[in-house]
Amino acid sequence: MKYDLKPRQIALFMLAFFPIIKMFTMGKSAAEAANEDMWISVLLNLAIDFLTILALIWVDKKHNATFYEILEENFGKIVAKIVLSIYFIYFMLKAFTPLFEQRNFVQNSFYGTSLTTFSFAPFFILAIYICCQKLRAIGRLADIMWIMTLISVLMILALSVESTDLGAIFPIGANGVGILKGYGYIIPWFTDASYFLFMIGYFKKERHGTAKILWGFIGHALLTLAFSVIFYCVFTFVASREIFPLAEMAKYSSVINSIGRFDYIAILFMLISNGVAIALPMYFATRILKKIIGIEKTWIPALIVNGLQLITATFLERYQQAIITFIHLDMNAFMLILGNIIPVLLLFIKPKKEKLNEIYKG
Amino acid sequence: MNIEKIPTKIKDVIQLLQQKVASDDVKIYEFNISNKNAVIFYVDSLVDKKAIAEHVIRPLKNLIDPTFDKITQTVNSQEIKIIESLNDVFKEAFDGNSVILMDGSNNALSVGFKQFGMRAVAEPPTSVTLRGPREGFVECINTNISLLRRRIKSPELKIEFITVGKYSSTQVAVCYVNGVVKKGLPEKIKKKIKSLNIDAVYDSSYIAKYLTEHKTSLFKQVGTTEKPDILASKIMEGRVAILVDGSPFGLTVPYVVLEDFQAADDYYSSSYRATMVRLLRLFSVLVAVLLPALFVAAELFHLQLLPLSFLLTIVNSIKGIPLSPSFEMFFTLMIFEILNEASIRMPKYVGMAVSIVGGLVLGETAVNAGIISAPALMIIAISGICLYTVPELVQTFSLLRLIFLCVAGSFGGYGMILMAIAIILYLVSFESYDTPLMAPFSPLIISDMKDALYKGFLEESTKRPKTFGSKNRTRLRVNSKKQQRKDKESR
Repeated sequence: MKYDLKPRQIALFMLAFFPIIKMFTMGKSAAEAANEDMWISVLLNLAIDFLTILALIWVDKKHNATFYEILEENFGKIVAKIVLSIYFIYFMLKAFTPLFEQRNFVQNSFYGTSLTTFSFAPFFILAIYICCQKLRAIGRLADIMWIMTLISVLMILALSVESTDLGAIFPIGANGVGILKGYGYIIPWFTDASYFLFMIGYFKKERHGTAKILWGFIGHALLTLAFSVIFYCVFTFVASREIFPLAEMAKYSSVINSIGRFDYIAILFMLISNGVAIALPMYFATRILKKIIGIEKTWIPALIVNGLQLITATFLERYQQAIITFIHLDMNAFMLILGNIIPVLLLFIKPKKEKLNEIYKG
Repeated sequence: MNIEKIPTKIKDVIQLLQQKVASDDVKIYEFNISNKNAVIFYVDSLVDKKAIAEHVIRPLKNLIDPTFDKITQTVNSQEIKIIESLNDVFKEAFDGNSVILMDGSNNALSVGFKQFGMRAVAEPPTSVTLRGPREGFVECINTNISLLRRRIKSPELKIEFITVGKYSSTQVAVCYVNGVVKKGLPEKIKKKIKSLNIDAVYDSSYIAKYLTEHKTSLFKQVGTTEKPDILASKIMEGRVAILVDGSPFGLTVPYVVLEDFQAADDYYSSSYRATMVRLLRLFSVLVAVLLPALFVAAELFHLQLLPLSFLLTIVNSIKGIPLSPSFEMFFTLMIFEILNEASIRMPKYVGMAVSIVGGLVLGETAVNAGIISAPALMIIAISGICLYTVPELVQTFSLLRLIFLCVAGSFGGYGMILMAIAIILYLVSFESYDTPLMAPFSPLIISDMKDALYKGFLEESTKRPKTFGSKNRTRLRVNSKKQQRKDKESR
């Protein structure tokens, strides 16, 4: 079997694309519900994702098959396709928030004066191109982009440290239920294990492979957590009103005062990684749709997926806020089930005897 | 192709040769060996006539009882080949050899006494080095092979000739080191070159274009060099080299983008200096490609990117400029490209005058007349200089610069970001001869990073790059620290 990915690439995939997507409006939403304990809500989400990934590594070792193959083998083709259809909806919903954030961020921070649709629509041309790629190309993108993410995030965080008041997160745990509320509200930004669910069976089994994947996730978790803490400590009680903290966090640094807004260079690099990160749900939605329809040409499902997102992102502007609220208030359970619970449930499916022999031989 | 046999009667042979080759530079010299008629068939401009008279005609005239075997033994030449068909007679003659045909025999003898005008081995103008060998390839394939052989004196260095071109019959040499090159790669390349059905090959770039696997790609897929030391080192990394008669440029396959960021000097100077220079080259290329576009994007869409004092300078300098920022930059870039093209093509004696008119008069006057602004001119000048830090990729990067400029003028910085992602994605998914173009960065090959942007010390480069798939990976054996300590103690 020729594998598309290596464990190292999955680890770098997590490091390159997982943290970046959580640095736009996630902080504001978490702070709204959990205030100074927002980082605990973030930690809870990260911990659940970590456990799900651990479970999926075990599933991969046990079955040595893709998610679709596991479903088809145990429940038949029809059930497998129904489950995939639900995941298609899941990824389409998961794609919406980052798309919406990116569009607004681009408009607010970059184009105060120009038309949003005109400047944002080209993104979908790129997204179609990304969606048509094989998993191998995505892995290779991660190989090159993790360094951009790492340096740019660390640069923003380092510049923000000067205006950070670490005392702002104390007393820890004062918000009680608010922490859980915050946890629930930010679920759509997490449930990243779902990407990994569609990678099982595609990566090479090698020595220290599990450790590499887990270290990749831990790296991403540390960056996300550090961002959450610093974000709250910079903005404190106005954190719940900070829509695009990335462009604001570092600007109070004395270095910026003397040199100029060179933090924008880091933001530009972040946007490169983010451009790929926000196309990822659409990428997986395309792969799923391709499997459901059963066609060879990838550009057809890619066109459908991106067309739907383009229509929602540009022409249904009036309903966008309503859609976001719907996803974050009403669909978080749906996200949790598909992103965390179903992957864990796969642990209870036993591989067939022939399969076991095959794995044993392998 | 029909293989025509050589007639036994010499009269028929002469008639046939005269009939088929009606060209004044092709000579048929008739003479006798004992009492048998014989001819020497050669191309006047390609042979050393003095050597033929001395080493072929004179000994043969003294030969008694001539047989074909005796003739072969009598001729004083190391390049002797027996040929059996008329097609080969023509091929050998036009290749610069002299063909001896004798009455009563349907075989011929090709004798090599080539002589034609050629350039002396000199330092190549495209890759000048401060330190290291200064020899460069010339147009003669045999000289080039000798330059290569002098650097790899091993029987494992295989050189295989393929004749390409229906009319030109150009010799192409495929060179590789057996046991170092990836299995199957030389065969793949040879098969590809053999399948080339073309009238004539004038330069190695013809072969390079044919060897590219993605014909429409903007990016290079075959490495080129004019220096034998670089070619030898690339062969020793596991690549296959291709030399073409008539071209001073050697080709190497597989190609990775990184190799154009490495220069010969890097290997002859200190590691620290080499690392710094490589990083500088990368930075320069980014500046060359992105700076004009960034400036336009900042002027049109993102003024907040510019520091206030710089912004004020720009505002003052663009006051009264009739062109939009993107058109102004495009216009300046076009002038630069025209000047560049003209300076390459124009005769040297007018070069100085055009440089003064183009560089000083045009630039200065255009700024004073208020057609273009001083910052735009300065940015294009910086970009132009930076581009030449990686001369091998100037063509690709100058096109990319233009694309980025158009995108920045239309969509601003965000458009540039999208364009950058598209290019990165294209590059990382690109493979040529099963080798990723962006290796060792993507896929990440940590062991090959010792000679990537960071230039490791010689002792660190113990292994051949994994990128080229060589099975024989060790290229340097260094004593372990334990051994070194032992040696020290014993001393």
